[in-house]
Amino acid sequence: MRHIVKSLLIVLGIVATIFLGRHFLTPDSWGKYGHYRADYIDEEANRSINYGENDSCLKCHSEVVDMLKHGEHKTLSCEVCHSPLSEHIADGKKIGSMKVPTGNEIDKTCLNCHQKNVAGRPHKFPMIDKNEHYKMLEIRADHNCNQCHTVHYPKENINKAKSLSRNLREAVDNEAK
Amino acid sequence: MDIAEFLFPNDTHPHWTLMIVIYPYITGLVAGAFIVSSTYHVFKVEALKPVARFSLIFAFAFFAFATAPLLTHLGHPERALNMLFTPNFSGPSMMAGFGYIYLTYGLLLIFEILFVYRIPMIEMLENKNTPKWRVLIYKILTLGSRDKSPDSYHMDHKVAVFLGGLGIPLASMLHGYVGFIFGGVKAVSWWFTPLMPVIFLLSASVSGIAGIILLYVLIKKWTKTHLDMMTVRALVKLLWTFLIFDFVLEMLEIGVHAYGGTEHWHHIHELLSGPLFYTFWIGQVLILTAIPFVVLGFLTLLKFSDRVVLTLGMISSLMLVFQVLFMRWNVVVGGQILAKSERGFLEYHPLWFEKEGILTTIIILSAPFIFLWILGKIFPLWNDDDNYEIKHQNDHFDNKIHIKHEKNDLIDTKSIN
Ligand code: HEC
Ligand code: HEC
Ligand code: HEC
Ligand code: HEC
Repeated sequence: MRHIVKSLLIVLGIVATIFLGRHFLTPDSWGKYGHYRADYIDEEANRSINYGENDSCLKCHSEVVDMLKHGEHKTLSCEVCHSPLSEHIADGKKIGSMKVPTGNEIDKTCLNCHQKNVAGRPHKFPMIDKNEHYKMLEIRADHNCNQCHTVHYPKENINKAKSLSRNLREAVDNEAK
Repeated sequence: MDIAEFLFPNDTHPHWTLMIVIYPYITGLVAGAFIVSSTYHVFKVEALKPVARFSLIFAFAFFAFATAPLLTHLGHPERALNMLFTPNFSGPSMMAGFGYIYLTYGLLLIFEILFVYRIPMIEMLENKNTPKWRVLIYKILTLGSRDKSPDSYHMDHKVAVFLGGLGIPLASMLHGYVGFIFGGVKAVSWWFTPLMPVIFLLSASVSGIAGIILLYVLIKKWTKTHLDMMTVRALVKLLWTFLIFDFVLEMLEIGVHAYGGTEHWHHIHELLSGPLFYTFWIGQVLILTAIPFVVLGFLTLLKFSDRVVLTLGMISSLMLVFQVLFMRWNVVVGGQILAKSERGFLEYHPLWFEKEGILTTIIILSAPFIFLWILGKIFPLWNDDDNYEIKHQNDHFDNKIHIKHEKNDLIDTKSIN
């Protein structure tokens, strides 16, 4: 019956190996602050930065940054619609092109935030349903949002057009008087 | 119109791919096959003796690949160790729990096999015609033991029965736990039901038993060796029993969802009548459950000739093996394509050549069969095999055959008692 004793010893051996393995493979700094590897904090802090925020674009794209600052999109980050700075610039030089949405991608980009059916947006947030929006505007479905909205200042043209037509109406009204 | 209408930006496609569809499938086959083997080893259902050893090896072959889809999905397989070594007991370390159950069950399965096969292995080891590589393997696997005495046989038998008995709750845990992993996800209304572990367990048994029937008959027909019809009939009965419970509970689950009619029901209802209509109602329920259900019922309740039982039993088993695969798909993919906004569905179309695509799935699903074939070279799958083999190889040692026969008789009568 020695094989039964041997079997038991093997099972014990396996269990012991697991505990030994656990002992050696658990990182040293594990559990220092909580259920994670404490060294991780430093490693994360030392990671190179991917996103530069809008000020980082200022040096080379001041006109767009400026435009964005004055429009309804002033709170947005450029990199939400484009791509991270690190893919575009390294050591102050351009290393790759930025993603620029085109055609239907533009609509998708806008609708990610402005789609009416997306639940959980603040009450006053401007939201549209593309079909209804286009029906209201009486245009064909193949238009893209940027054909009317300047992407970086969405109501710039629209406001201009509105004030133009208002001025025109005033002028016509004055003429009539 | 487009993707943006009802999808949240962080919920645009299912993350759990085909890999997570076949993970419960393979685990289920393990649990199901083990139940067949234990039905003989523990509950002494003699009719299942011819497949008792085979189902153990079958279970092990699939067991060895149960985590393959998970590790493929993980991408960094070595990181699975992190989860096992530093589980978060105060939080939800669900997969670590699976790891522990899986390892414990694996040890049990291996030792059960070693004890069931110890004496046959010693006999093959002592046989001069056994190739060297196998002798070496047997030397290791018998742990150096050469003891063939009736006493040691009985001890082995007791240990095997004990392990088999312990294995039933463990195998049920193994697969019940897989159901628990899904059933515990609060965010997915299609999964979040306490019935989930039970349904997974029952469907696991169905797939395991059906798999055993299929392979038993196919291998026996292929090698033109003796096929025991009593065994096939017993397996068919067992299969029908489990199918009844499985099917009834699956339908009850939907019934509870529908009658309960929580705010999630409209979404599940849309799911079942929309994206899952063909795979659930038509595929899983109507074709792959209802037909085998009726056929197996007839086979169990009425008297039919061997040929009818064999043919219809095989067809039903084949359908049920696929039924369970469909069920896994409907659960795993169905649950994930429910958009979190509850306003529509995501899409999932597996590709042939992506990392977790159809080709990978086929490879992982065929691996256990190849492994089973290799295991079959080491562990004779059928009870008659090793006796038969030894008898033939010992033809010129007349007296040895004699001793062998006597011992076999002794063993057989005792094991029946
Ligand atoms: C709301 C999304 C959005 C934000 C925020 C945004 N952009 Fe853009 N940007 C676009 C789209 C869409 C285009 C291309 C379509 C167009 O110009 O009408 C574009 C075009 C550009 C272009 C011109 C590219 C070309 O090839 O014509 C530059 C440069 C640019 N953006 C820079 C910026 C900078 C710098 C910021 C931040 C200050 C910014 N963008 C913020 C959506 C955005
Ligand atoms: C060091 C200067 C520099 C900085 C900083 C910089 N860019 Fe650029 N960017 C360029 C140059 C140069 C081009 C190419 C202009 C051209 O081809 O007309 C460019 C082009 C672009 C384009 C058009 C697509 C392309 O790659 O040709 C976009 C969009 C853009 N930049 C966005 C940004 C955003 C957003 C930031 C801040 C996160 C940024 N850039 C920061 C220099 C810069
Ligand atoms: C990252 C989210 C985001 C994306 C992407 C985005 N926007 Fe905006 N948009 C905003 C926010 C925030 C406001 C300011 C809302 C407020 O004033 O409460 C705004 C305001 C607007 C407004 C002014 C509405 C009003 O009546 O004040 C328009 C028009 C608009 N966006 C159009 C667009 C278009 C067109 C695009 C695609 C090029 C787009 N937005 C992409 C977040 C986004
Ligand atoms: C034909 C020109 C045109 C197109 C194309 C267009 N819009 Fe507009 N959009 C307008 C005008 C004009 C207004 C202002 C309506 C008003 O103030 O009464 C407006 C208003 C909006 C507003 C503010 C609604 C509110 O409730 O304050 C949003 C958001 C907006 N548009 C998003 C989009 C998006 C996203 C697209 C692309 C899918 C798009 N628009 C395409 C002309 C257009």
